[in-house]
Amino acid sequence: MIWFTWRQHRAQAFAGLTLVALTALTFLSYGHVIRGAYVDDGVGPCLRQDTGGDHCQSAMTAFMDRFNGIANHLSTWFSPLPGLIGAIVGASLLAREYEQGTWRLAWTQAVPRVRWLTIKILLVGAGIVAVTAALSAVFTWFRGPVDQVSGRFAPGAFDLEGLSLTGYTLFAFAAGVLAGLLLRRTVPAIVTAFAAFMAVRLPVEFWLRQHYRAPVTRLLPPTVNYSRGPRSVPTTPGTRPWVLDQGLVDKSGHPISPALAEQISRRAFGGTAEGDAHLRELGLHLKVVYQPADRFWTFQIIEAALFVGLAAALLGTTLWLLHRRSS
Amino acid sequence: MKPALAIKGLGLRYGRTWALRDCSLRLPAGSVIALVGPNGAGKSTLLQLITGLLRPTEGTVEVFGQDAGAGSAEALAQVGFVAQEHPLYQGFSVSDLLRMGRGLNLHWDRYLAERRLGELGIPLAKRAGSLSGGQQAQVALALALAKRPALLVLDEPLANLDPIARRDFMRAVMTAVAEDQITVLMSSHVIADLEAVCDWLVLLKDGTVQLAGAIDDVLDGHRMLTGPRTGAEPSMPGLVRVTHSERHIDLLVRTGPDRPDLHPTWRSQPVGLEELILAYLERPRETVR
Repeated sequence: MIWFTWRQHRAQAFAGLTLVALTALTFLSYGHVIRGAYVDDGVGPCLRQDTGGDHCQSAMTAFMDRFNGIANHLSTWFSPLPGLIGAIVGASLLAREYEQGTWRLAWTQAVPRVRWLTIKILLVGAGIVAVTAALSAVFTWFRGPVDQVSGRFAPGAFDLEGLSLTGYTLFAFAAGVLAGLLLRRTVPAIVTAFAAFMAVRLPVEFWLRQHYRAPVTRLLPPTVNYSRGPRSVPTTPGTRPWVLDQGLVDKSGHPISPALAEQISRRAFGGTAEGDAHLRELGLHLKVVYQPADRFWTFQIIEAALFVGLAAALLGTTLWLLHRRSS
Repeated sequence: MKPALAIKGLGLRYGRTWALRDCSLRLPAGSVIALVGPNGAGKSTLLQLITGLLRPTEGTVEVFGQDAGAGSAEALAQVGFVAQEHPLYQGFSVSDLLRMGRGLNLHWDRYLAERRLGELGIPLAKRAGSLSGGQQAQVALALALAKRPALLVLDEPLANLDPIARRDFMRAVMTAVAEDQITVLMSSHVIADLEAVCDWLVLLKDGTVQLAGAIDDVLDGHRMLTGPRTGAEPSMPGLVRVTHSERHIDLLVRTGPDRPDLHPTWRSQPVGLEELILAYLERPRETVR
């Protein structure tokens, strides 16, 4: 059964290894450039000194201007990848057998079909874990310096590093296996599995994930830099957290009126320090709602458990249906 | 004799339609059984129930005492199956397929498979997809026989084969029967393919068994009666089919103790297998039950 599984899926295994090799080749060489710039621009010391001041502000802005784009493109290119890999490999397990009629050959040897599929799921699933873990390792290394600045909760980081990439791929794989059983055609099974993957994956990223743990709220000294997106100076000490919401509030904690916000943004300050001083005079605070950076692994584990759990449920359903279905 | 196949009250329903219903059969070991019926009669369904590919909605199938519906390794091991269009993994080489068979089976006669394919001149290094249809059928048969099955099931094995490939395929099947005394169950809608090699007949139509028995007994049990045409619709017990011609009337009947004496102007003749099968297949549906 092990040799048989290998013989059937070796082309996919080679494709997976090629993907890892090409990714490593591309990103490890470019990763060296990022690491060099990280040291040369003095980004590291600035991060250690908390907010740093105007020198650090410009150093980090320059660094992020240069590399944040490419690091986030990575997530755009690679976000659908787990869905595609999983759906294609998953659909090949059953849909291809039905499509080519070989299920009648495979399941009339002396391996009962539930056992046959269980072994294939375990072996192919192990291959998927190996490939996706290797990809995650490459991405983590590549993004390392950028993550130091923007934090690992950034969309390009959280979805590709740690356990999540593996969890996503296993989920799409399971959806592909089940779709193959139900549809019996390879291409429709791939399309359905990919659609199902996106239908779960996107709501999790944009809605569910921020609720894994109750966020932390902090009132900080006000700054005019808060709204500058990923290039702004961290407003909380240490590694940048996942900021869910931030804004200027008045003494009683209510958000400032739109008129006042307009007035502040129109006003030209001589420098960051002058602007900050003005905000302090108005008695404002910066209210930040966030998930602290040290929750990265907690969130990774929850996210991976969610997707691996869904995958297990789909695969269990597939095996149960295969056991009792009449054809 | 211990039956190779014991089928009791077997039925399979897809949604609301029954593909097969109330099927009960006992097929003797060591025989070569022809499963005959028109397309859509339920032949493939019955064969897939016997091979454990389908689970019955009702009833049981026992192959040499093992429950085929359970799909256990032991039950699978004693049935060799060549499915319709003899599917193979097209990207596998012949030796890959043999290695697969060795890995996925309880018993595996590697020597037998290699010898059979060697005799046919089928190279082991070739990809299955690049073999001719006849060669692919032979490879599928070699895989089924290398399991050393007690029962060999062939679903429309000769469809899509040219006459030479048909002859070679049947020759290989009959060699296996002669050497190993295995029981063979094969379906076809081409009766001529089966007449020469089969000694048992199962006739399936509209999902029910119309006729089952040793071919000799079945032929002995039927007579073609020819007599003068009269206006009245003839009726007699065991009547299978009535054919009117200009002056005569032909009655195909089952012989039995209750058959009434006929007027001496009637002639009684034996029936050919093909004619008999066609007569059963042509019967209108309402008289089936």
